[in-house]
Amino acid sequence: MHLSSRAKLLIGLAIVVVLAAYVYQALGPSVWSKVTPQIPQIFIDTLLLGNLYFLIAVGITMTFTVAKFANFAHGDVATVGAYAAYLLYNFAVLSGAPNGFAVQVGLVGVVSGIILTLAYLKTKNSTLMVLGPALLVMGAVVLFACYTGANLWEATIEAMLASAVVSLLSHVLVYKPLSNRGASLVQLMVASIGVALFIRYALYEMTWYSRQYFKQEITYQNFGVQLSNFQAWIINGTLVIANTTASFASEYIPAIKIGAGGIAFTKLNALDVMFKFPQPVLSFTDLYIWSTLTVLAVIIGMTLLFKKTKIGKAWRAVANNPVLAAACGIDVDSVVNLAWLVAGALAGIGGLFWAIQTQIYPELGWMILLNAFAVAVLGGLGSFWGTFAASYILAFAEQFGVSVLAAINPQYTGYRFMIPFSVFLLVLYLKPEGLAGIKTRKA
Amino acid sequence: MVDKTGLILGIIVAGIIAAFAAVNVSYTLDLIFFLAFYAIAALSLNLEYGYAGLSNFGKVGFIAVGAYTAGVLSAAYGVPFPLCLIAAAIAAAAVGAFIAIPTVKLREDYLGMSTIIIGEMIRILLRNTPTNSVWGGVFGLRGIKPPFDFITNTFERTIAYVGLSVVLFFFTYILLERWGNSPLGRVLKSIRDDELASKSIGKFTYRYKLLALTLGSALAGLAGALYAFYFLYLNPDTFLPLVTFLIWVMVIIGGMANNAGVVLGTAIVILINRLTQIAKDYIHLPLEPNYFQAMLVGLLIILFLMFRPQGLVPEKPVRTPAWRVLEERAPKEIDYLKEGEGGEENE
Repeated sequence: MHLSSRAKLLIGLAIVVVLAAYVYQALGPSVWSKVTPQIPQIFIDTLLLGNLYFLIAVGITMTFTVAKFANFAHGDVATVGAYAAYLLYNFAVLSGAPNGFAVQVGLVGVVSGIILTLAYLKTKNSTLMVLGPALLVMGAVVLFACYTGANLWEATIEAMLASAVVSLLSHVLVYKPLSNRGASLVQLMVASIGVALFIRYALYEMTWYSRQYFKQEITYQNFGVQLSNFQAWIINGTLVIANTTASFASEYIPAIKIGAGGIAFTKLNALDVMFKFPQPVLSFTDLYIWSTLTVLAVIIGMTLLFKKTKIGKAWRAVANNPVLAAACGIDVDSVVNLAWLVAGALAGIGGLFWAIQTQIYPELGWMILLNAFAVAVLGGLGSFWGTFAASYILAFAEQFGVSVLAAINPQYTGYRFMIPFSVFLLVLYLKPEGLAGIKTRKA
Repeated sequence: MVDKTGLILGIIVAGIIAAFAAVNVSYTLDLIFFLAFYAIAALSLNLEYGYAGLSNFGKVGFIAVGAYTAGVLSAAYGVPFPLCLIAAAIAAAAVGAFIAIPTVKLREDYLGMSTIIIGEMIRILLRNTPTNSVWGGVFGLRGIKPPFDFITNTFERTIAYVGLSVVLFFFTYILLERWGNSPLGRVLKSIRDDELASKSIGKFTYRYKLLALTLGSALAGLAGALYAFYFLYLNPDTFLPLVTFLIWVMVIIGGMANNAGVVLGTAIVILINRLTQIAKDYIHLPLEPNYFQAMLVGLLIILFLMFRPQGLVPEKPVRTPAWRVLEERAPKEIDYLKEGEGGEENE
């Protein structure tokens, strides 16, 4: 029996709906009464998780559009950024004095950056054009942080640049020569796995050094950023959001009231909030706000880049047909370099956020990568908006599923990773082209 | 000119193993078991990647399925050893087919990404099984009945088991060598080289790819069952993705679509592993050797793909009857053809 893909999709969806109804029935009200009050929290957690997925997966999509293969090293590129930021943030200043080792690293960065920039001025090589300044800025930031104390902005810049440089180098040193030698798709993927293994175990080696010689444990550590915790209540039809972390410092905590009468800033009594207020409807941290702002900036930036600038036009042309683009006088090498650079920078910032949200360890990127692959495939491999939608869909599936699992039995939350993977398998069976396949019509 | 790299390296490898045997027999037995286990896994990957060009990055997942199927059947139900081997192969083949059905239609990327996800998924599932059940969760699966328990002497029993593993390895090797030279192998190679051309001469490429992945998974499951009965204990955290990539390195170093080369690659990778383990006790490097080994694996993958993509032992032309006749009657033309093929590869 041969079914058209549309019929298959419909039958599959029908089966999914029936299964969902069965699960709903089977779990019974005892589970759902626990899940329903959490729904606002699930939505806001979805926002954070979706942001984090998006920042990683969009890089996979980007490199996929120009290089046409799935980059398995992307997660580990993100880990490099997270570690660069972590080390800068925590170890640039040791007991009030600049860290001697970090100063040396910064100096090496500045000097090599200057040399490479000068080399670019001589040779006009498109790789050196970005590599030199990037190293220069990285070194300068490290030096600056050593003498003035590191803050999160410097850490973010460091994360983005470190990941961007590693991403670019992996392209220039491995993938480009390989594809010039006519390597097949599978060989490129295997090579990216080689790069991933190399980076990951180099990081492991670094943590081992740190343990052995600096007597400092740098795996499974918290990032060290103090996050403010916000909580929200709905009282008499107005939404009250308060920064509860401030209650450690003072008696009154700042709050915002949003209601029919408009927006008002007030101060609440901390003791009232602790003892008299009901269970908060929502609870979120700074990271929710930062990651959302970052994603918004990325979306606006990318849209402007692709729609308004010549670089974006060239990028789209290269993604569409590199040979034709080269024939039109577009510098394909530079555009591809730029794509790897931007993908790396976004991975770096994504890795940093993941590290702040969870913990930092060398496998971090690898653990994210598999979820990010699920996102990328669901988004239809190579579609920007598909990836965007898929990030939040998978994030919602994961958060909702975890709440249901926890309501059934708290032990079952270990199956958390299964949820995005199951959605991924489902997509492969029902709609292998992903979300992008819904819009594009087959000729 | 015939490339003798493979032959020379093979002799060196055999020499090292013989030297091991002269020093410590039980260590060598362990080494030989690992050679047989990894060789079966690498040969199965060679069927998928070398012949059919399918990128299976979740090999370790299929090995885990085989190992746990055999382990649970033996520990919980007391199923005899040979039946466990067969059941393991069937279970792994079923999982392989389940993944292959939606993915082999699509581009290679999808298969690669799906299989790597499945491999991790199987590990996470196994980790989260209840610890008080036979599966054992993170504490691992215990209580697998030892095979050959009619032999009372443990050393003799180990010899018997390692011997059986080697026999199974030879069986796999001969099977794959026959498949490779049969019409099946030729169709798979044609799919790898140009799927459209293969379709245009009326081959159902989808079915062949499905078959390759299913058979490869079955062999991986067999390897997993062998592993389970050797250690009589299974832990989900031994089935890390690194094992998959170790197997990939074996295939890439050895040479794709060449079974003898893959076996050689397996031996080289395992010997590097063992020799660095031994060297660790005598040489003090400012490096953690285990991490360094994994870095080396990554580097080897990249360097081989860049400078010797055909592997140490390059692919041989398929031995069809027509080719044999040509070899007898027109050796010069054959040499010319071979050189032509080599020239193409070196480009």
